Amino acid sequence: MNRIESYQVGDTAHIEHLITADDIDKFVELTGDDNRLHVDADYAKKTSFKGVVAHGMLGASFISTIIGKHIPGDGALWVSQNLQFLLPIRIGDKLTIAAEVIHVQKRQKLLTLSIKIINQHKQLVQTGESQVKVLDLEESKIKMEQELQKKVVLVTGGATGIGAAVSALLANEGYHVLINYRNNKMGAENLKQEILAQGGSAKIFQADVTHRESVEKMVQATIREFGAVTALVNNATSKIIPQEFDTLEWDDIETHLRVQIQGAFNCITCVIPELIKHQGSVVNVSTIYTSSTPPAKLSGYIMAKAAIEALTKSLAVEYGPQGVRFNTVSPGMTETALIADIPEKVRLLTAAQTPLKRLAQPENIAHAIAFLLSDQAQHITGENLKICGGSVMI
Amino acid sequence: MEEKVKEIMSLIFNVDIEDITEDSSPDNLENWDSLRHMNFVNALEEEFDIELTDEQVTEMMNFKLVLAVLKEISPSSA
Repeated sequence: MNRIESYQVGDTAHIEHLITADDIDKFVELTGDDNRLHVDADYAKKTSFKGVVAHGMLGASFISTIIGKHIPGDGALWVSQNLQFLLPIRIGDKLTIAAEVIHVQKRQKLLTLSIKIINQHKQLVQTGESQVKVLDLEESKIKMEQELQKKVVLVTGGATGIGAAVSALLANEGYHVLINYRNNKMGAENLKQEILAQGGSAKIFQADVTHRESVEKMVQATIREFGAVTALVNNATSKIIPQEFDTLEWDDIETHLRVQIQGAFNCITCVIPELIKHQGSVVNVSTIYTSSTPPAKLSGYIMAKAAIEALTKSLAVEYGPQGVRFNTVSPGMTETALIADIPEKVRLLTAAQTPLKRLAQPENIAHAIAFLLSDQAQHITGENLKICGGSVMI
Repeated sequence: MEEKVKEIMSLIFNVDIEDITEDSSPDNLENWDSLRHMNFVNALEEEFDIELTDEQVTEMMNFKLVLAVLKEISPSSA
């Protein structure tokens, strides 16, 4: 609603003020008007006023107060004023400055106020009319600033494992979260309900990130629902199935490339106009094994992860000038369903060989991603943050 | 198997059996040094009638990994 709508003829407000010698001194200091009628008692006695008179505009200055703080208060633009000085104001006078709305021009958003300044003897000392514009600008600006501060993240593969931890954490940090899933609708729905129950904001969207059209629809739905996309987490990944190289078909390799590279490509290209608009940020999820000796038989997975790190750096350079940041996180082995097929002994060995003597929890990775998306990381781009308990130190 | 391993560890590393947990390792058992580790390996081989490879010996980096290695060798004992 326009603020002008809330005013009607007859609305009133008033303030009171006791005029002191100090007021006059301050007015002289401010304006430089040290006319002897105001500051020289001997001189003033010899005039027809028979004593010191306060500056007429000192009394009138309180019209500014009543407009600026009461009618209409914030958002007031004082556009015109006429004044009649009827009686002198003297030190010790207690003034009542009263304003009454006498005309409302809704289209022009103008209020006309009748101003009456009365002394303690109920004498009208000044009178006039003010015209004040009631601005909606400030509210619009605040709303616009709120829109700019709005944080909306799209998390691919956001229903399970690291993706679920990221979705939950970012929702808790005030993001509107679009949880993308491919097959796990129940997991996505349950996560959404958990977020909503904690007062967060989340929606789920089924999309295979390798399908361009699906991703376009998902991004459009996010913008429609939340008004923007300010962050993207490319977390969707292909299943890790150890396979000897000489048994691989190209399709096996391509599956990893499609999900991780084509998927990230689709998502980034669809959201990049939004990210430029909102100075957004992208975090791609890789693996520590691109920086260290990788486990055997995971060539397709490792190859795709190495490629996404290269993509991150390339886009950090390309979009840095437009204010969009790209970073990678490289988790060590993390306790998720993704490692279900990895033998227990390998998991135990990995933990034992890690300085912190444990595998990562999804939440550990989520906190690193949240940091990279946040303003605290506003000067970090093209970085690859390792979250591996110290197993790789470069 | 778990209790038997704990008994051997208690004996070799000179520690109360109650103090051996699934997180026990050379990091928190003072006496689990390289020399006693070999004594521990010998005792395990004798107790379970097995022969551990060099790789398995180095993999036994904590109590849980000792069990994992032993289960790998004789799954039926798990």
